[in-house]
Amino acid sequence: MLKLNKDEKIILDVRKHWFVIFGDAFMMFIVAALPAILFMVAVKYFPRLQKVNIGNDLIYLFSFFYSIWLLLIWTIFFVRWTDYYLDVWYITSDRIVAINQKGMFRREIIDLRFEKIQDTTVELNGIIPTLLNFGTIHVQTAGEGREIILRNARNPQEAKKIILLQHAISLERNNMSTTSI
Amino acid sequence: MEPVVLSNNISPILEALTNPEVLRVVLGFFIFLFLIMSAILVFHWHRYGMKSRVIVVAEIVFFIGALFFMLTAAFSIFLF
Repeated sequence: MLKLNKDEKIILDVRKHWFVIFGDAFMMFIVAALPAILFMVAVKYFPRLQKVNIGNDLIYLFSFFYSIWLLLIWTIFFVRWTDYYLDVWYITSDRIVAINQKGMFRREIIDLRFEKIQDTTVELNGIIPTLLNFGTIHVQTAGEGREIILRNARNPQEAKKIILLQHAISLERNNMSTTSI
Repeated sequence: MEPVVLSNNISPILEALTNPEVLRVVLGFFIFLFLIMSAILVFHWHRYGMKSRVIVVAEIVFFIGALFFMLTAAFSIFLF
């Protein structure tokens, strides 16, 4: 859980674009539909299958295993979605909090104050990212030479604009406090 | 077309899988796995979801979908 300092406000939360999870969902849809398609093809081309005597109706046996299969795919999809949704950058009035969810049991949180930021760049590679407006944001820090990256972030230009604005505000705030001393 | 009798030559595993008692155990095992996974997901959603409305909607959709699949599996055993 993100804990904010006194007077700190979340200005923007930068998440990955929906296209990322759409790709996953599409793949899972194909995997989910595969047994049903295979079963229908098998019944169509091997009509003797319908006459197989397993004591009971084959369709209910298939329906049972197919429901279990769909339950598995459904759960795996939500695990992937959680991984996608919890990867987020919170841009607050004081800092960037970059949260990287790696699977269910690994989570990396990086706190980056605006005065430490040296450079922010945005990359949009390819037709789909350009059309749907998503790309990679790189934020480099001064001194440590550390870099934080959010891939497939939605609306990266907007995020960059806000980061640069907050960076300027924080530098101004620091200058004012130095001159007042 | 003559019915194809498999009962004499299908493997013991296949034979076991056509037994409703075994199917009930299989369903129970997958429901148990589902409960563990959903507990982990709910923990993440509540702890890190920042009380977002998206998380609430995802939680409802997840449980409705899972319940539907579990009920379908249970009814299939009942009808089998």
